[in-house]
Amino acid sequence: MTTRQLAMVMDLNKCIGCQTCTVACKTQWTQRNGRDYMYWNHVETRPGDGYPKGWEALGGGFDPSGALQDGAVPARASEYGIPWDYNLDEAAFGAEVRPQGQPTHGPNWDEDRGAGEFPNAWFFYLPRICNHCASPACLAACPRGAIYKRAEDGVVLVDKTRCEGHRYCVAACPYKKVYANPTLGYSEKCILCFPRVEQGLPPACAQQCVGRMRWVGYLDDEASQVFQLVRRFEVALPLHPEYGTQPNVFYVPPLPGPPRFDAQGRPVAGSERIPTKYLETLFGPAVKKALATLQGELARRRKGEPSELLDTLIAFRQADMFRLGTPTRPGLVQLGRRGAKSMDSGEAR
Amino acid sequence: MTARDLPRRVALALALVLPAAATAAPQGIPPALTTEIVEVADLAGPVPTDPASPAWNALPPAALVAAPQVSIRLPDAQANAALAKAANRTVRVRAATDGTSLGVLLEWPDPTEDRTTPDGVEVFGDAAALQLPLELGAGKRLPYVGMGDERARVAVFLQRATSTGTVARQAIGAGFGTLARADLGGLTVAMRRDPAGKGWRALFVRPLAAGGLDLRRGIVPFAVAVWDGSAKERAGNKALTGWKLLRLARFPLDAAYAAELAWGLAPGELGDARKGKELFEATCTACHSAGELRAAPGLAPDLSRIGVIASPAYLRDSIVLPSEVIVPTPNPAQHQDRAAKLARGAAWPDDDGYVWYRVEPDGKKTSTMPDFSSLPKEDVQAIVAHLRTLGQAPSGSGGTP
Repeated sequence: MTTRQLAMVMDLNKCIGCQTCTVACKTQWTQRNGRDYMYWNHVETRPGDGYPKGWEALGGGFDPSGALQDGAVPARASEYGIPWDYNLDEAAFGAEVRPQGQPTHGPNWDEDRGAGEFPNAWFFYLPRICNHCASPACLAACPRGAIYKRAEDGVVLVDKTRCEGHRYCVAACPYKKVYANPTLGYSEKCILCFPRVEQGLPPACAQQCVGRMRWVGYLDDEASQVFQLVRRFEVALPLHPEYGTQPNVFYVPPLPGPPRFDAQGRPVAGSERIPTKYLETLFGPAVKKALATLQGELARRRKGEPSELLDTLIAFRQADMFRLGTPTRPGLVQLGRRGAKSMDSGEAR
Repeated sequence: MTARDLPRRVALALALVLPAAATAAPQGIPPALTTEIVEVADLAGPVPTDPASPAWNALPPAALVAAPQVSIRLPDAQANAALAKAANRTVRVRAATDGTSLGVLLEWPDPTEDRTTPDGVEVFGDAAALQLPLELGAGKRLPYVGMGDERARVAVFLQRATSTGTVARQAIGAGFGTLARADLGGLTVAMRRDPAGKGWRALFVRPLAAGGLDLRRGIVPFAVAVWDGSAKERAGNKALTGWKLLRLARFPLDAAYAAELAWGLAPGELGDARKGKELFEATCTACHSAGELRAAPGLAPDLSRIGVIASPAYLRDSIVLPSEVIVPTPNPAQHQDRAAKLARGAAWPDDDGYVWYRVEPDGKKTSTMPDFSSLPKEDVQAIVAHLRTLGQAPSGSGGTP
């Protein structure tokens, strides 16, 4: 029984697609031993194929009646893409830089492509990690009971001593955020950097985010900005709520952006560059209300009125974005200007 | 192989090709068990550890039927698409002992050679397993054939084809998802493609007595399973046989055990399968699917192929003593109760309607399957007789939609 749930909020208006989170995660967790193709965190461009390619069509999750649905294990070559290297040794002596092999897909394969034609092209970035769902489909699918959800923070983990590499979790996760490690013979996934969390540090992807677009905190902690954004202002929404897994990563949807231009190059008043209809396919019908709230607050701010919501989203102090702690020490360790303070240090209180 | 062995082998081969009814049952073995028996050849030399050894070819194989496992559904779209078309498979079994080791050789058709690879994310290897009851002898109920149950555990010996050979596992099981690696006293395995590339041979050799498992008995129940990697088979997606019996003529026969194992196997002993079909379809299919008759998925084990894999005694016990033969299932979280009133941010609770057993505070498990011990004995036997027919057709008809 999960007693507390750690959650993350990502503001898609602030993501610049720099992949610093991806690199922070990769260097921390997935550099070797069959993990080369794994991205516990990646940033995909929407609209786009994503990673693995076409993951939203690969099934999994729960149907509207609440029954677990079948899914597919993605194919390494066509859906993940085989990681490649470059001919840098030759390039050092004047050869043209070329990828080795025949790359077909990768975690940011269609980066910045998006949709639409100039001058009405549009896209936005969607960083994705494991959603550490309240009803994890991976957990429900495991025939060996090898996946568990930690009581103290709701982090979903694979027990490597129980996992036999059968990969039903990979098929059942509708977000395709469980990865098979065929070299080691078990499945692996984002662990929400729990060893860091236990030390009072936020996950590496969140701490390294140069855009300050990720908040981390407990959903029952009203003082956390995560609670404020998800529960109070209701501007942060789960991705594909219709999958029925009850995700605990929440996204502030991107605003419609600048208006579209007509054939004469004149802005079309009231038009949306990023269609709300498209956002509804990702975040469900609640996206309308979230966008209305954001636009209302923007209007207030433009009139010079204060907006607690916008101040929160701006994230003036990175330390305010993270409130971490344990049930026994709900002291909510914060980051100082120069990084983390240990949970055991006096400063933490 | 010695010349001395030869007449014995010929006699054995003749015995196996003759119709069962014409075969005189070996001393002390109930006639009803004859069809279940695989003779273990007595070898003068050591049990060969190469599946291609001519010594194995000299032994006559027994052909066993393995049915696709459909009792529990696993959520893989590709595996289930293959399962819907899957036919029963024939596994040919040879067994031999030299007095210290037991060798069991499985041979089955599989046109595709599938091996796990270090980067094969979606690649599954062909595999085979040999299962034995962990506790044997009179008074010891046969475990549920699908990896045992709470009160009757199984020893499982498994091998899977990899890019570099095979991986082997020894494990103990007490129900679905419970398989835990264990040292059962040594295991030698080997898997080889047949020279024509049409199938596999998989050999398991282990000491007759080691690791808490003593097989020095006249009869030893066993079951086998095979996996086809190209059909995305792994874990519970496999084809398995029912319990069969290894006959080790050099060891004394436990007649009481043989009599227990023979329950319900004699032709006609169970009674009227047609009446059983009527009773089954009037009652059991409310929760259980069987062939064309589909209940809500996940409500209860799918019995479409149960006749191939479950022993009559197990079927009887599951009707009249359902809480005595509970098979642990890994988790009930595959069905959310969407009708539940949900506190903000709370997870959907599991739907009790899909729970196969309840766990009382004292740990005692009660099966959701109603206790039908009040049924007349002949009705129970008629239902068992009908269940024994399910999935026996070689292909198709016992399948899932």
